[in-house]
Amino acid sequence: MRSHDLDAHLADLFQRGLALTRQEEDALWNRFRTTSLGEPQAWAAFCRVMTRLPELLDLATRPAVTRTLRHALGIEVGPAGARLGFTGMSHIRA
Amino acid sequence: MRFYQRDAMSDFEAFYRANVRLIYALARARNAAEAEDLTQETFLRAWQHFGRLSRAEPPAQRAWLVRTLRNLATDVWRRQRADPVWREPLPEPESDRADLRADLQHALETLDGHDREIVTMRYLEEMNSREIGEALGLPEGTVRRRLAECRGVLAQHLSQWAPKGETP
Repeated sequence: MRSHDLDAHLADLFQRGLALTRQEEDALWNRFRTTSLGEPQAWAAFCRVMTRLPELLDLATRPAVTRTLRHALGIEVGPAGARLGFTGMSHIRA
Repeated sequence: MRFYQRDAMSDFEAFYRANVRLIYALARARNAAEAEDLTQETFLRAWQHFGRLSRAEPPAQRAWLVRTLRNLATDVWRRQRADPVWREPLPEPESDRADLRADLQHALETLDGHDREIVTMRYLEEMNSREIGEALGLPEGTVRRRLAECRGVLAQHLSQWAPKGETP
């Protein structure tokens, strides 16, 4: 077989034997997306919640909800609220 | 931020799909048992550097991926740690393709690491000697010489797949 023909033959074998099918490519991408990118996605979701925190706290009008939030977030009424960027603790109606 | 994330993800998926065939094949050529993990780890590094990597030209992106894969492959055992995440295995290819894949794997194992990369780039991705040289940091003439040598070795090991009536 001439070298040009041999090249074409080998390319055919490699592509038939080693090229990923669409199904294999999808399986690899899905595994990558769900396992490797899972952490950054969770972080992005956490950041989205944090950016909405003042809004969420405004909704916390019931004392039980407020207490739960305060315990969960470890914040106290007063200076800690200011450190979180709130102008006043009216955000949390204890 | 949401829109930025979504755009970055879809850009990255396009980048992934454009390169995964080569990277997975090179990973298999280096370490068949760890090919999926090596591929995954290589693209995770790419994701972490995607801000910069996405601005590079495709040949430079490919060279970066190949370098990263090589570095990971050299210490894969040290880096490996227990992974509790359940993995969906790749579907098994149909049997004649599985036979061909196994024979190609054996043929590749007779070559050294550099040569496996060269022939995979040439025959799977149909890259020319200049492109291969750029990706691997080798002179074009060296790539051509290595290809000429490897062509004969591969033909010998894959003789059962030669077209009927043809002798490689």
